[in-house]
Amino acid sequence: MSIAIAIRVAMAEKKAKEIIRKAEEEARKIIENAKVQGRSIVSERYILQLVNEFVEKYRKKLERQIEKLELRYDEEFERLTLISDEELNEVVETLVEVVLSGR
Amino acid sequence: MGGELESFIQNILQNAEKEAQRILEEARQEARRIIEEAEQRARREAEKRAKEIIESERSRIFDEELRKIRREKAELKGKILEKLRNKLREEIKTKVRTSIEEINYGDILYRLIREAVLELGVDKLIISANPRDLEFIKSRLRDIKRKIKEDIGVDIDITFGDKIDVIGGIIARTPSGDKVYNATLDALVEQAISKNITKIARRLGLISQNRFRRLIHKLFSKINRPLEIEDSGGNKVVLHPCKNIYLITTEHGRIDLVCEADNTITLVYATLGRATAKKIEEFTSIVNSQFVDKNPQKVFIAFSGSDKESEGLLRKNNILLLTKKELFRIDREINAGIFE
Repeated sequence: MSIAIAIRVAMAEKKAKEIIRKAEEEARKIIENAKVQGRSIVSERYILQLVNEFVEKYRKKLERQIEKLELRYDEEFERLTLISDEELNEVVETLVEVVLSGR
Repeated sequence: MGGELESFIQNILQNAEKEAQRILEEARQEARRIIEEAEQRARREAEKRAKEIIESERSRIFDEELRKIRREKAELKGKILEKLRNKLREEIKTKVRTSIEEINYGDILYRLIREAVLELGVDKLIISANPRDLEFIKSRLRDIKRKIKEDIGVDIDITFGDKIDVIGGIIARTPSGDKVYNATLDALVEQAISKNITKIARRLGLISQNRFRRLIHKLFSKINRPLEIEDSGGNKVVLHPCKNIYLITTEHGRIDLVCEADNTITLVYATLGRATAKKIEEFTSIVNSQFVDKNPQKVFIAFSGSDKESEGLLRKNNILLLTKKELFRIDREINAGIFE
């Protein structure tokens, strides 16, 4: 092999090494950036933002549960609003007897 | 030779490019993994915190709602009892004021004085009452003393105290003031209400719906013979002693009482409120899904009654209607003492 050939091969190898070194450098930066981004994702500020989103989502479910809870009590309220004077008078009649007879 | 060399050099460079691409691709994958992992961690942490927040909010809101519901119910009940108390006081006031003879109010006053003598265990009493009753007692003092002597053998010495603002009755005290017996009609009204509060609450339906359903269970379990009654529409119905009683609750509805007797099954839906189309549909839907081939007797208990539309719907579905009136009648017929 002539010196000229050897030099060209050596230069090509050097260029190849340079290409790989640049790629490794770029890869290191990519990973470094990802780590920075990752740290920002698990940062308190971002988590709080997510927490608020979740809370909003769960709150809607909660509101539906509360509506149901209110419905469960409608029947008792219904009765309480339906008691008539006539019904009260019937009870009064019995109680008048109790008070005046001393039973 | 020149072509081979060029090709060799190109090969070196191409391999380097490929390797560089591989390194970059691996780095991008690793970067994605790092970010995804961070996102998952953040999500897990946020969900955990959000659940804690919402759980505590849920407890707080539920507790508040329950307290609010209980408070509103208690206020409504309080208002109803206050109305009852006022009506009772007015009724007694009217009776005492306008028809002393008819109810023999003199006898009542005598009875209250005699009770005071017995309760306080003394032979000297100071009696306070409203001006009218005080005059009445004064005018009959000799008779009262004589009767007490005859009835309980006490030679009572009665003097009169202050005039008080009450609807009737007396307050008796010993001369030293150490013993007091309050037998005013006002106090007796309070006593009558507090002693009978359970009965009053049941008669008026001032109870929780769960309590109401438990009482219906109790009532049906006390039926010890075939009991023929008329439902609210005048239809004859026979309630048989239950050998087995239970309730059915599904997500679609409920049957408050399944009464298995010898040859019949009675299904009961019980509400403190009125019969409504929605409640009737809930009942028929669960009856049809659970008892389709068993030809059960269906009873709808609506403590507060119903309207024409609901009655039509009940008839159409062959369901008997029992209101408060029929419930009380069953209670009397079997001496259950639950509502009456």
